[in-house]
Amino acid sequence: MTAVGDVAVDAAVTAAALIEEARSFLGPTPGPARVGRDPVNLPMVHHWCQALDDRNPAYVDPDASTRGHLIAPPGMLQTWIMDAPRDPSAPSPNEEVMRRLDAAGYTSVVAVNYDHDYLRELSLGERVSVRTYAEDLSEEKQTALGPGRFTTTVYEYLVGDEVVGIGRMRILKFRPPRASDVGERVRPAVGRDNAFFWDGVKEGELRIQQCGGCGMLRHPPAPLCARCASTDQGYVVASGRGVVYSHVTHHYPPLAGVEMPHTALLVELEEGVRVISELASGADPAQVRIGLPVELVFQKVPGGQLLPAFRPAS
Amino acid sequence: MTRVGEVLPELVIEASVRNIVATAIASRDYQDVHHDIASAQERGSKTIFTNILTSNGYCLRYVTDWTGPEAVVKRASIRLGVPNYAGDTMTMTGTVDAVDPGPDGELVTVAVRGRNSLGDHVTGTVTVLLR
Repeated sequence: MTAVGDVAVDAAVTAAALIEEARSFLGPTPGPARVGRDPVNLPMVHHWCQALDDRNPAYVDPDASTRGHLIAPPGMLQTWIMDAPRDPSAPSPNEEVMRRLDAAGYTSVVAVNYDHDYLRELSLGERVSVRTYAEDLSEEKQTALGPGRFTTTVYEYLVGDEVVGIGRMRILKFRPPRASDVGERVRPAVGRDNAFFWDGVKEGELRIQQCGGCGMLRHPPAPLCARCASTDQGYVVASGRGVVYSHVTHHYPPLAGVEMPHTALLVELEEGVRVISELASGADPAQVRIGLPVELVFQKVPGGQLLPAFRPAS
Repeated sequence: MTRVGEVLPELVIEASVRNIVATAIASRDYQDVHHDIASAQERGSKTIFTNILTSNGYCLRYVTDWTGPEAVVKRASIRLGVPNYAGDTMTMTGTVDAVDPGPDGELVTVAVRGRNSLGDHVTGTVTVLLR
């Protein structure tokens, strides 16, 4: 085995060990509670209600309240502990799991679920604290964002010793794909009808099929003429000048051998036929509009294939 | 009496820069992707976007706008989809999914959906107790 192979094996062994370690921190063994910096208070409730335009009088208007007292918006439950000081020397069990996922290469995060049981309403003056732990850790899954693992963090919200709410946040920790990881572009299927076109690409020519019977241009290449039914085939070399007839910019999901965002173009050539192509790399997708004059370039796509592309005409 | 299948009135929420920043800070979420456009773009996002506490807060607000202030929010379970970017508009829709009688009143579960130009930003259920 080569040295490079050994490094890859070592990395896999290390990652597996980290995941095993992470699993040892799973389960309801919450550490000490973190205490919110401020008790439930009216100024922060006002700020929340104004920002979300929530006009529920139960939160702000003591005269309108049927409860006899104001309550906090339940959606603020996590807000009360957002500013609670953390002690980096005493990480909570879920932080231990996160650290190992980061070390194993799952450095990016996206939240997928956010669930709460609001066990009772909170009143002004109550001070909320929280204890957290990780409940589960999935096997590696192939997701649209990259390979990753799902984990659920449980938030136990307390006032004193009383549990007043339970939150669960399920997140995906994933390895973001690098530009060099986009893979290889699908190769064209070359046959007798279109070999002249791909030979042209190698020569730096955009060749458009021309009927040997009636002279009509057609693209994509086909075995016989739709107008005169002749099977005689020739071609002309396009000038490379045209205008954008239509376009679409693809952001997601990732495609093999394609750098995102990717702008597909339908270009109307000055010869009068339309070809499907793409925006040359480096050109700005935001500049593309219907009718934009464009010019032909040839560029290598991931995997090494040479393809025609178009950029805004100079 | 609340009936299963009852449809809630729509609520349209403009995701302005001001709105996204104000709600993130009101929930004490100082992550830069919720207030700093340049940082959000550096991290691969189109621009700043709504934070999770706010998306959840909008789901609760949407349901309690409809029930009135007596409702007690018992449970919310939301799934996060496409980002809610500044400049977009989110439309909240909802339908009563379940009505369960209980000792203290009716437990009403509403299926909610917040949709913007990219698709579903948030979907889920909110359960409230109506006395």
